[in-house]
Amino acid sequence: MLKIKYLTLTLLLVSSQSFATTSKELVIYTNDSFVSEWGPGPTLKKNFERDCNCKIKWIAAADGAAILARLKIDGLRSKADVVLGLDDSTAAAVDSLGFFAESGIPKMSNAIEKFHHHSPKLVPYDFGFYSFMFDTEARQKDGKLFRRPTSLDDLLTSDEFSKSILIQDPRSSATGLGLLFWLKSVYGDTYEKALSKLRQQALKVGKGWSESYSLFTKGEAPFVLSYSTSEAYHREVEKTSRFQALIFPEGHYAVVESAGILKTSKNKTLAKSFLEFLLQEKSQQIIASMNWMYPVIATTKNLPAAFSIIQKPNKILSLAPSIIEKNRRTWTEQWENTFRK
Amino acid sequence: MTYWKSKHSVTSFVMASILATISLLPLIYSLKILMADTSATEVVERLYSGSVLNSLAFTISQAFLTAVTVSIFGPLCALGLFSFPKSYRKFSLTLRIASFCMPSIVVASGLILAWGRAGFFSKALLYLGFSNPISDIIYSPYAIVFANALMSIPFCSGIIFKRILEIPSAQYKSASMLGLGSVPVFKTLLWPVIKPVAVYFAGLSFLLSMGSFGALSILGTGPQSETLELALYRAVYYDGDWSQAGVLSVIHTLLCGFFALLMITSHSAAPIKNGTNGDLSFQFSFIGKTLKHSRILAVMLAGFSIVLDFLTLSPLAAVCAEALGFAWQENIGERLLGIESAAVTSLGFMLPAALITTVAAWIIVRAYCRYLYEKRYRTAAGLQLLALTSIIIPPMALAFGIMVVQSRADLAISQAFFISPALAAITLPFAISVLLPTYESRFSGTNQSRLILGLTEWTFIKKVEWTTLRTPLAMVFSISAALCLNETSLVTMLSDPSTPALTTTMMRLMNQYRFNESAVIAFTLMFATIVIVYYFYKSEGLDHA
Repeated sequence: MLKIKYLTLTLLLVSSQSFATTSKELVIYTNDSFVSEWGPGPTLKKNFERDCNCKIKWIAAADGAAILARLKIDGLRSKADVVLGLDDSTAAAVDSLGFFAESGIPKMSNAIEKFHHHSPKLVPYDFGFYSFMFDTEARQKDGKLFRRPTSLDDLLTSDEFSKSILIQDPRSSATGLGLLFWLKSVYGDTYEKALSKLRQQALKVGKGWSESYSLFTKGEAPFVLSYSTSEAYHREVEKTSRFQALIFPEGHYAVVESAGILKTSKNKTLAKSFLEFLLQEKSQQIIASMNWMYPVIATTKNLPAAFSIIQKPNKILSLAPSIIEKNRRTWTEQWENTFRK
Repeated sequence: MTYWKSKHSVTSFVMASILATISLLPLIYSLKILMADTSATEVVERLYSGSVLNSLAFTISQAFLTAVTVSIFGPLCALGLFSFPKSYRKFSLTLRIASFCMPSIVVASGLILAWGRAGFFSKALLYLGFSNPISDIIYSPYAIVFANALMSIPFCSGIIFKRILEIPSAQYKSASMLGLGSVPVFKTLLWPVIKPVAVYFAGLSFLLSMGSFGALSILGTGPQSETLELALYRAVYYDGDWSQAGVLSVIHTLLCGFFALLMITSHSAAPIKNGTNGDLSFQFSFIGKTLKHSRILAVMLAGFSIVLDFLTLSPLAAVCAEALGFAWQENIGERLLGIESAAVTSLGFMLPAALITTVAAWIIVRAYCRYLYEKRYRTAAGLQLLALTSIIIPPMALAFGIMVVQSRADLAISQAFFISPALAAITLPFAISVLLPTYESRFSGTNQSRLILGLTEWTFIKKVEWTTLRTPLAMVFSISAALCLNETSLVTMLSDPSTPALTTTMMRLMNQYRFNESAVIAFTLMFATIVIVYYFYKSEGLDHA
């Protein structure tokens, strides 16, 4: 009798589980900061799930480079439907991998047209500019405040900034790789010399942006490689102007973050509707105010006020994906050789 | 010799073989993938490539520097402990032993929190008008040597201290009657005891420093300080270059295997034969007086000891301060709920692994002792060799091999089926080294008694062995649990990112904006380790470790 009771109970449990999982699950690979409690992930998830009769499952990696590496490991066995957080440096590798399906979302005439190279497989959802953030209260060993560098060259060559910059490893970080593109765009043939200068000024090479940025905000160094929009976050959320983006006359490299649908996805329609949802005005406002990047659609409604205060670069730099794909390995090896010494 | 032709001897070989296979099979598969995917010329090219040579050179040089530092400062800090009162010695010893089992990521993050440019002590020094001498080390390739030494020197000095106490007091009394000075006493009494332990620990710290993935992932400074382990992780997780990972895995295994065998065959820190006679007060007063022959030396040694304790305590204190400060400001209950699933995952790895290790160590040790008793030395050596196989396989290489075995990894499967047995294989040699001396001392010759009494083997295990070995087995379980809980490289490589363990969650948090939250996990790991180690120490398992 007891056995029958247990059996019935087990069957009930199993059936309740199967009923509970009837709604579809959309698995999304993304970066840590996007799904952290202050990132846009939780709010976007709530909004999307409200209408789609589905569940979103985030799987987070450090950044775009780590996501791409995870895809390489998974291969065609990947359980993900959507990949979110690929920037230009990693997007260039997407075609060669052959893991992504065409998104089916038409090219938009939008804010990034001048520096973004359209791909039918990737849908851009925000953008920004690489920049060095400056801690205006950081002091040198003798107790004096650090001077604000006037140009990229000033930052890389002045002795007073030696061992003062936190950068990221281009082999494991999208921002680290972005810095190489920035230096290449500015210095061209003298890129290797610029790397040597950077080597002198770098305090620590972090694995990813978050690690470097946490050290920076802790006061470990006066400069960190980040985005110009990071200043907006500090002004808006922390109500402080202590951390400021340095805008240089040499120009700033543009970064566009994109999302794509994997070929192996069994929920392609749902995945496409998620990408469309990302481009809606409300989602774009959430991304701008929580991911601290510019929206890709032309909207200024409900954007944080700090976006109108922070400076935008006068000169925008970018490289074609074909050039990046062709030279990425060489540029990274040059960086590795310089930083190994 | 009719006894012990039982199932248990066979079981021991089966058990040891399974764990040895878990260790070796991945290596074989790594070699296979290397040969299948890469031509011989390509392998040679990769070997001579700058990045592999650089990783190899850094791995060896940082391990060598750590070993030298440990072998010099370990004995000095042990001798310094004799100048302090009993209560301080007790505190210091517990701290020194706990530091060895501490997760390297806790020590590394604590070092930044304590000694970084904006660390607690740096701020204090700045306030007093001094500059921080350690912050430059923290951001240099020497940081890893500093962290490794900080985990090995305290334990080494603690063991040396205990060994010096084991010298029979009759020897001290003779030296006292002969009126020997500090130099002859050091040469004749102390050095013969210190030397083997210092050399052994130099070897052990060299081997452990070859890994140090956790510390390096936090304190690393890019290509300049990349060990083979970190390069292997990068090759798999960032470059997706499995051939490069295969090359690195094989080189790392060969290197570890070579040095492990060298350490095992050339030397072992053998216990002092006659044991202590317990007259500790005389030993203390004698060594104290001997040291006072040279006041400068005594002050210097005491200084070393104090500085070591301070440096060992500082990262742990900084982690506690950060975690408690955060708990004070935020709702700690909610935060802890956030790491609840990570704790469950960690327990899921730790408990089965510790259980497998304990059972395997017991079965293997009892069979080994009986072979020795029967003078079947070759069989005993064979069993020992199988049981200690995993000591030559670095955890990261083992993890990579497991990924290769299941043909390019399904991390959910790795997590469910492979992590615990692999952790058990890694911790087995430590467990055997703890259990063997106890078993040898308590059961040598009891086999004959069992036959005389006419007990069946199962009754003997139940009534005699279990009753006698309950405490040592609990010690083995706890030390294995501590090691498994804090293992970073294998768990990071194999665990499913959607259900991370405590160590991987902490590394992820450290790599984000969340220093203070990672300190909460560090604090949890530290607390669990101290509880486990304290239990271990209280049970006097230290003598056998």
